[in-house]
Amino acid sequence: MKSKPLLAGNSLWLEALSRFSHNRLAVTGLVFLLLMIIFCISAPLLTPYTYDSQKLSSGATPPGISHLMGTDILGRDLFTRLLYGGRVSFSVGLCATLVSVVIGIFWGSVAGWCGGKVDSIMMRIVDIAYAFPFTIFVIILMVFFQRSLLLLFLAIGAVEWLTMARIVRGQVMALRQQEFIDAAIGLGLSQPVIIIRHILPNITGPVIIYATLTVPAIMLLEAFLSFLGLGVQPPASSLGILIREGTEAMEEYPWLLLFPGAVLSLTLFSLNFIGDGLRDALDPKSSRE
Amino acid sequence: MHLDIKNLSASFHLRGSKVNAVRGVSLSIADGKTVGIVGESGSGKTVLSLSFLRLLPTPPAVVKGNAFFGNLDLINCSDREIRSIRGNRISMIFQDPLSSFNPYLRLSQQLTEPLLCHQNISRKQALEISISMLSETGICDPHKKITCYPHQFSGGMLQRAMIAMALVTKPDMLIADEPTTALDVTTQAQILSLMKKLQQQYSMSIIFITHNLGIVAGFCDFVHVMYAGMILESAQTRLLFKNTAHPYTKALIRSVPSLHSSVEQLYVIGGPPYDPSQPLKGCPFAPRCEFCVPECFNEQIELTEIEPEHKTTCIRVKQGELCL
Amino acid sequence: MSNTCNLLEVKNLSVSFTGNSRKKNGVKAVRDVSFTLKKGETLGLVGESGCGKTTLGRTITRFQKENSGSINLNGIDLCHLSPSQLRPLRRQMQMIFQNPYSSLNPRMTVLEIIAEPFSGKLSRKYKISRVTDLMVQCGLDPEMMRKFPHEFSGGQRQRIAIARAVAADPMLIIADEPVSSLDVSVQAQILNVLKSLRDTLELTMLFISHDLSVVRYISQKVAVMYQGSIIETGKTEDLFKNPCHPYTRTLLDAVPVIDPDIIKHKVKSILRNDSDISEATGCPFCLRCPEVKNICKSEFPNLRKCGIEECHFVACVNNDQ
Repeated sequence: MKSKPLLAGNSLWLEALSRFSHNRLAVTGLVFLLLMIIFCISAPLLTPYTYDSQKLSSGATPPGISHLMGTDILGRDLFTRLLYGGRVSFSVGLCATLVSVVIGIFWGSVAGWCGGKVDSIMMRIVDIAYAFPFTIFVIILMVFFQRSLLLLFLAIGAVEWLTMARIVRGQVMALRQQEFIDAAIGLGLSQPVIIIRHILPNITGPVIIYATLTVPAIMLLEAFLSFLGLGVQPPASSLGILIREGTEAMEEYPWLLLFPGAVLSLTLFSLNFIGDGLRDALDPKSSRE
Repeated sequence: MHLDIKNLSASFHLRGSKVNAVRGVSLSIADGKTVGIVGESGSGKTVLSLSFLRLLPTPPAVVKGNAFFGNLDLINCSDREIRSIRGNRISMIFQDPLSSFNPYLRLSQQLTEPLLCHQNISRKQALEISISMLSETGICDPHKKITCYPHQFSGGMLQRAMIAMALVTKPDMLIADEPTTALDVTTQAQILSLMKKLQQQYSMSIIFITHNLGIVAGFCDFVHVMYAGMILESAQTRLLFKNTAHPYTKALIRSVPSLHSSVEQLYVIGGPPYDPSQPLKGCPFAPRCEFCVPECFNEQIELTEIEPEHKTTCIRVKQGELCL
Repeated sequence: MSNTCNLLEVKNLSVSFTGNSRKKNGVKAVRDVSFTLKKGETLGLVGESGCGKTTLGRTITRFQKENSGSINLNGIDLCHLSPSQLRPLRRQMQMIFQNPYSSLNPRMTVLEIIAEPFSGKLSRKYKISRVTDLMVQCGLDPEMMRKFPHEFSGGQRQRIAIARAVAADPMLIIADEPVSSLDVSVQAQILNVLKSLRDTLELTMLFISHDLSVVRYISQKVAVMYQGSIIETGKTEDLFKNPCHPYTRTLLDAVPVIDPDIIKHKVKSILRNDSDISEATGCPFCLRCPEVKNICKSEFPNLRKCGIEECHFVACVNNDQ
């Protein structure tokens, strides 16, 4: 046999990896996102301040040497607050998305695969959950349980999976009609194997696209919840809180909006590039160099 | 009306690469005749018909050459002129009748459309013409059927309705692109005899595009065999099957299983299938041809007459090395 | 006990689809079909679209539930098995589908597709060598095994589908119109591959097609179906030389022949009318039959022996004279 490059054409996943690594935009996005996450995690090493240390006397100072991105009205270092806020926002965004993707794929593929009564019952549950007012749901959770970030993830993930389940169900139902699924049944494969090996790889495209759209949506949702006093509480920060504070002080202290805004939009950009890159990488039809 | 296609070529420019779908085809169709264009998928037979009706999207496609319909050059006339030809003087029917109709409109709306568009008549008159045309195509109870939606018909009925729609304007020419491929053999036989009957009735010419050599043998007066966007052999139907000249035509005929005798092994055309993105030199069939000689790859091929009403491109036949 | 020579025995099989929401009662797709297949035999199943030939194939492969009758594969009754009993048996009946574009998982390499039917835990090296053999047998270049289906032409994809079916080492192959979406020259290649595989591996095959000449080429026995029933069956040579049922003759007449000198006598059968899928007791073909008699409308014809040939049966009352 002719020897081939190790990564090319061994399986979908290996090939996807090689294709992804050749996509410059996607790799840039991934590197940028990873850098931001690393910065956030190693926040105490990068800054001498803490997110709540105030210096009321100095007030809002523009970016300078001692404060890289300036300070807010209470004299708190914006760079530090961004790093700590990023911790909250990234973990909320990524974890809640992960939760919603996992539940959504499971729920949607089971409903779409089984069809019939199972499908209608499962999808009616989704409809009911859709109709349930989200804010009230979160308030109830917060009242009954302690205010914690973990709960916030769960609450947000528990809402965001609904759309994902609908998307996955539609895709799975369309795929079921394909003859290669009949062929797989004909080989005597068990249902979980068919779903994992034949169905799921074929729905990665829409799932990834929707997931990359979910991350920023959840970050903004977290800001909204925090605004209602249901999410992150001052003096702790998150990207959403910083942007809201920045909007209020936009006219006098524009840097308070500029930096958090830039971080959020760059995150969105890189997530979209990663999403596009992943979709193309996982589609063997996209041209091979 | 006489259609004269001269040196027509169509190519697609996609992502920097150029794909030649039709390469310098010349053919002419006389009044009231049926001309068959035979070829496998990718031979350019469909693109040929789409290109002289200017139905190809022209940013990726580039069409060159002439196609004289009467005195009008279809390739170089104005959009307005070509629109007055399409669906009026030249009509088309397609392979899949179900996807050729709009599922949301009743047949009455779709059948009268060409009439209302091209002729200055009232909706009522158009409806009457459509109904009489539907009954011509053998649909019983046309008054009732014309108010139906396409999904209420079977494939054969819908193909009849499509023929009716193509013929309401009494065109001079009908282009039928694989009109019976999606149908059962018995329905196919009925549709073919219907087309023959209507052709005589309205004295129109038919361009019949198909991959089925059997249909060609029974239905067409003259046949052009296409491969790689070129015509390799054109002949009067009987001559084509009796004195088959080009090795490709021979191979095609031999690879069809016979209904009347049993064979042990079907003939198979070997070699790599034609790749339209590759530049072409010499005969396009040469890499797969069992009679090919080095000259086949070098010499410019040209359709030449080898007997009256019979032309081929094969240089070996022309030189008399391969017998007819 | 059933005859041990018969690999597949289908007895009095009926399948009907229960009409959803509409008031229509179930449509009978397959009515009282019986046939047998010996090891190494190929039965060609012909008929127009909607005659139930695909449903019959899907019922045998257990994609469709039957209403009555029995299917017996190598002595095992397939009709009364629980899903868990059925699962290991499924690989014994492999299907080859019509559309090679939807029958292969676009996200698997050819190697993964063909190796999927292998049972048990096998080393990668062994898998590759077996896939190589299968690809060569089906006329594919083994160097292509790491490519994805979209990089292949329709004919090559159908070869991959055939290789996958053969890889399961099945007792029975059901080929549902495997060549009808292919070009003539490619069709010839695929037919030759199927024929040579059948001869070397002694495959038993049910070949479903609407193309009579293809069926004639590939099969030893033929069954003609019309509206769910088999109306004529026999050895290929006998049936094509001496078609006894008027419907079979209609079908044969309708096939265009590559010979401009054969003037086809016009297809005699009456236009197919969709409204009258006969609910009546009589012959299903009586509404289109050019030779219809009064008795045809009242009496359902059973398959009877026809002519002098062995195993040639026809369901037509007119045949008695």
